[in-house]
Amino acid sequence: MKANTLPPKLRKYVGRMSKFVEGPDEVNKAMIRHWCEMVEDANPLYTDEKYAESSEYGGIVSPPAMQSTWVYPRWWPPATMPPDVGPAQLDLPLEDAPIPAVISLTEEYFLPIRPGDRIRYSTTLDSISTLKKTRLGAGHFITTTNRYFNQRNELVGTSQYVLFRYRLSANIEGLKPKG
Amino acid sequence: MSFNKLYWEDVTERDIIPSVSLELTRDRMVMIVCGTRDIFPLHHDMDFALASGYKAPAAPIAFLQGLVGRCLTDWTGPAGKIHKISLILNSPNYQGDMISVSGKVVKKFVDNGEHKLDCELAVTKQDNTVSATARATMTLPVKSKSRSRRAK
Repeated sequence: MKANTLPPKLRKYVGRMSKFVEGPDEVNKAMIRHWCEMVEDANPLYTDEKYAESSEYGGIVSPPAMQSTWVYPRWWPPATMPPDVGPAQLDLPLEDAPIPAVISLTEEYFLPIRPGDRIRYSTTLDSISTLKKTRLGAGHFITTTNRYFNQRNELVGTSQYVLFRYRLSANIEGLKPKG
Repeated sequence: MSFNKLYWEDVTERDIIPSVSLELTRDRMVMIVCGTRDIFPLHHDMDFALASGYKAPAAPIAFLQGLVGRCLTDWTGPAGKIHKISLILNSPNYQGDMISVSGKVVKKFVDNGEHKLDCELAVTKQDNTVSATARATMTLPVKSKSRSRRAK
């Protein structure tokens, strides 16, 4: 791999940190319940008020993996929507490799997230590969780290994504819709 | 409702973490959007999925995070704390697939006074293909803190 073949227009993004994006809603029990319904998770710390109050947390907590859900953008109104989550915050010039595929994700959880918390995050571009050809198509491997903070400015957790941003290879190009 | 309470002392390396399964029905794909707020069209739009080189809508990684988390705390009970989860995706989890998560304990250790486990998990489909693997670090309660401190 020749690191020096990465075009300067991409190389200058490595190490860059995005602005902070604040989640549109405070952490709340309804959205926690929707997450638990999705995977049928009966952990009483997430949905059983009485149990959670008697636990060491003293109340309901969010499933740790919901940290990224708390900062998902609004669907409406469009004018107030941040462009996208994660790497899109970095405005990478990858218009020719529009499709993201997640290769791996590593999350760490440092502090409980509770109803009433306000979560915000920022993304750092850790690395970007030169153009690679894979089964999916040609594209770049991109590693980014999201850092999530609460309203007390405490780091509650991190997510490190490895993404492959690609365009379809020629043999399946025919499936592409017009436009 | 009663819940497990698994103590660190009662776990042995190579212990099995029992399987949990869910079918990715079309209704489930809708519940995933409700649960994650992820409306990227790959996860619900057949035309977009086909045009992106997939054979059907594919569940987002957040669904696997949720199912892996459930698999772990169904086993340990609510006193088990998840500190870290790494997921590596091998292949898409399509609408229509039956998804199962199970695992085993690979390491039992004490770190900074906390009683921890490292676990390895596999996400498998109805045809036994492994669509993802995961590694998780958890803390479990101990039966007697004073005794385990002395034992260190």
